[in-house]
Amino acid sequence: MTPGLRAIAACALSLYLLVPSTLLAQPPVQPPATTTEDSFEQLKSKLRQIEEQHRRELSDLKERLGLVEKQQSTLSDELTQRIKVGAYGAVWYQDFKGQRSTNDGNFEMLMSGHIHDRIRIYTEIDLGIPSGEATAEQAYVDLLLTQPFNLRAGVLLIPFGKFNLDHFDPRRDLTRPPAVATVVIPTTWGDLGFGSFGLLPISDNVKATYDIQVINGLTDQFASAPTNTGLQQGKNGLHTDNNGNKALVGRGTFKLFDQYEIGFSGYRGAYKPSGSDMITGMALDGEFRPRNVSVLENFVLRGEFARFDIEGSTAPSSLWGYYAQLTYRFWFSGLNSTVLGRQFNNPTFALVGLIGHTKTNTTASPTGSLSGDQYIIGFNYRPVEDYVIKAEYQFNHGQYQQNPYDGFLTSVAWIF
Amino acid sequence: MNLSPHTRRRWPEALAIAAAIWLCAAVAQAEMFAVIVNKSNPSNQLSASTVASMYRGETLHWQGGDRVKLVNREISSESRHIFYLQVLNAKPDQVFYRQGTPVPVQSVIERSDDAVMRFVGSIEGAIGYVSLSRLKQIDEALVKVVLIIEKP
Repeated sequence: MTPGLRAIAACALSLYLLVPSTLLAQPPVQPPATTTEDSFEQLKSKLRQIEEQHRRELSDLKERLGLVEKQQSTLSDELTQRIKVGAYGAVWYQDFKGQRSTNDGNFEMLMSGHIHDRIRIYTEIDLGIPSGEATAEQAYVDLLLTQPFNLRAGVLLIPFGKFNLDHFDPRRDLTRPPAVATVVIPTTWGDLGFGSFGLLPISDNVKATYDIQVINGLTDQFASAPTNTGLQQGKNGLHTDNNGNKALVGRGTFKLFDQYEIGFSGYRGAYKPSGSDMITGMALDGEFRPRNVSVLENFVLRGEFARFDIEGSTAPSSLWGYYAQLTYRFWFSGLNSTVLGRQFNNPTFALVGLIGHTKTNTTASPTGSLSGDQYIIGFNYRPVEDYVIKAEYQFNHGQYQQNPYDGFLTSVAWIF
Repeated sequence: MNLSPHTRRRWPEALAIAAAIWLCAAVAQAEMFAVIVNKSNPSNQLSASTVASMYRGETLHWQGGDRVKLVNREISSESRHIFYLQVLNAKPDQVFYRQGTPVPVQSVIERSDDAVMRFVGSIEGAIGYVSLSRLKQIDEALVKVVLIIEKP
């Protein structure tokens, strides 16, 4: 290679080496432009992630809210529409002078609740132990309209005297009802009918209530029963009306300071299959729970007077009676650590005293009347409100078959 | 007693401080309780007799038509003791029954103020009672106070 050629080759090589780096080189990628695009993509990606996260959280929240709403709804439904099925029972041992001692009992099934916020049901079925015949003692439905006016229909517990309305064994402090509530008022008195009831607030401390019913009414069956059983046999046994003449019965109360309750009851209705002879009844009852006087707070005083006059009947022509019962509740805190008190929320003892008198005017008696006096002392132990063991001794004088002699009774009653 | 003029001048201050301490102690002792309802309840104020009527089973519905759902505390609770005494005029163990049945007036038993507030706050138509001091700690968006009860 000649020196000229070498020089040309050297120049060409130099030119080749130099030119691409200057003239032929691609313009450099602008670093700022690349960063902006990347950030935009990253932002979009982040936004998508955030949106995704929000969607997940929202979905989670909705799910949780749904769960809470469902729980609330279930709880609300449970509260508003729950039908409660329960029962109560009592079994007692009685040993009256001149009679064989025996065990006896009473078992009833209960169903209560709301089928709607404003429709309430209550059913009480006597299982017929030991009599063998199950009967509905109550089976009614209430349409709850307003506080002062509501409607009731079905097998109704008759609002005549407070004892008939509170006759439930586990709630009472003595085993057997007082004589006035068996001979004069046919307690556990129920009948088919319609009625209305309500409460009228008169002032902050005074309330009035009423309960009025139109029922089939008492029948003349008491006339063929032993006179000393009073009106018990006059209950119509949930049969249709024997005379087409409906009876009217009702009870009104005044409640003062939530301590005193005074009740007035009335009944009027024909009882014979034909004719218009009437049975007219009235009752006055009261309950007093003293408050704010520490010595008296544990006492409860109850009483009731009732009378029936029967037209067109001489055996009997009238019946009347009364009872007064004083209950004293107490507890010894020293018993809290014993088997009587341990693990029970509110155990109590109660001492109970009752006096009563009944009289039936009847030509079936040579003296023209039957009368009876009753004195009862009792004691009971209630570990919880719904279970009670009772013991009592009755002093009975008079001609009534149901309470002829003195005697001892003890019982266990419960409700659930 | 011979007191220096300086001491005599400070007597009113000392008395004022003592009075303030006594007042604070008295206020602290007078614990208050609040009857609460769900925030959505249209009632803003209730009388003690109205509340008593609900707990006795005599008033079954709110004015708007919702059924009253009662929340109670356990028998041993101080709140229940005061509520029963002040509002129901009853002992805390007294049970109220539906007239003519052996069925007690139904209420939900909760064992703490928190539980009462949670229940009342989440169930429309619910009513309960809690210590007012505890109530200050809760979200007012859930419940509202309709009656204040002062411990005697």
